[in-house]
Amino acid sequence: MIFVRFYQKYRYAINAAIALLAVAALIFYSFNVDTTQSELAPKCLFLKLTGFKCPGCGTQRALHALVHFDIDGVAHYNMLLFFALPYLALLFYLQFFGGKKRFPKLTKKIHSAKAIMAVFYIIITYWIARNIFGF
Amino acid sequence: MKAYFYIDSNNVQKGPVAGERLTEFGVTAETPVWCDGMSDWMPAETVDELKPLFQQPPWQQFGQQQYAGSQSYQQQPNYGSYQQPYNQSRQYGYNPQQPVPEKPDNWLAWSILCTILCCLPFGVVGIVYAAQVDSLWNQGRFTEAIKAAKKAKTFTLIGVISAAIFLLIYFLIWFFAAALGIGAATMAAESYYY
Repeated sequence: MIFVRFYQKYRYAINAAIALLAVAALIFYSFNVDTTQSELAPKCLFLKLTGFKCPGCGTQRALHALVHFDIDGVAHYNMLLFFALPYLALLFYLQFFGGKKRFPKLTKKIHSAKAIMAVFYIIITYWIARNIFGF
Repeated sequence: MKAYFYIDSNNVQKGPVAGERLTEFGVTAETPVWCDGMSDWMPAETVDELKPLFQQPPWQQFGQQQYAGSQSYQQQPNYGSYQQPYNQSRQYGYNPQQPVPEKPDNWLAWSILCTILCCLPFGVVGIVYAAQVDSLWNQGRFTEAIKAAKKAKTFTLIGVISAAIFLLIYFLIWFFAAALGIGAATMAAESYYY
C-alpha cells in the first residue's frame, strides 16, 4: 500500500527516472556495441524462423547508426523508425507523463480506432514492401 | 471540492474551476467535466462530488410531478452526441444505473514497442485490439472494451515474454560458447548478415 501511495505521489518523477534509465541504457548499448557486426547483438527471431524480415528488423543497426548521427544508415536499416520513434515518444508522453490530462482531445484522436488502424496499415505495408523490394 | 475542467457550449475546453463554482460558469447537469483522477470526461451530474449542485430543491420536484410534460422531459433529456454512450449502452445490456467502470488502458504504446523491438507478430495483434478499446468504450460497450483491452495486454505480453526468453537463451548460448572457447569468429561471420 505504501508503495502504491508513494508511486501515486511521485508518479511522473518515477516514470521519468525509469524512462531516462531505459533510454540511457539503449543509447549506451547502441553507441558501444557495433550491432552491424558484433555477435553480442541478438538476431531477429522472426527472420531466423521464417526467412522473412519483420517490421522491426534492423532496429538495432538503425539505432547504432542514429546515435552516430548517420541518418542515411537509419534509412538503410529500418526506415520505419523515422515514424515510429516520434510516434512512440508521443504515446508514452500521453500515457505516462500527464499528456492525456493536458491534451484530452488529442489523446482521444490518437487513441481512436481510425488513427490506430492507420498505424497498423503503415506497419503492415512496410512489412510486406520490405520483403518484396528488399529494403 | 476539486478543480474541474469543462467543455462549454461552443465545444471548447475551459477551466480549471473550483467544483462549487461550476454552475456560475454555465455548467449544467449534462456538461462534460473532468478533474485530476478521473479516467475520462463525464457528464457533471454523474460525478459524485458534483451531484448536490444539480439536485433540484424538493418543492420544484413536487411541482414537476404535477405536469406530465415536464416529467417526460426529465426522463428523456436531450443529451446530444456527447451522451451517445449512455443511450447506446442499453442496446448492449449494460445497466446505466450501475457506476461506469474505470476506463481500461489500451496498451498501445507497449504493443507498438513490442512490434518494433521483439521481432514477433504478437505486437501487431496487440495493436489491432488496442484500436478497439477506446472506440468500444466511447460507444458505451464497456464490457467489450475491457475484453479488448485484456486481449491487447495478453498479446503484447506474450510478445515481450517470448522475446525475453529468446534473448535469455541467446545470451546463455553465447556465454557458453565463449566459455568453451568456440570460435567467436564463425559466429561473428554468421551474424553479419542479420
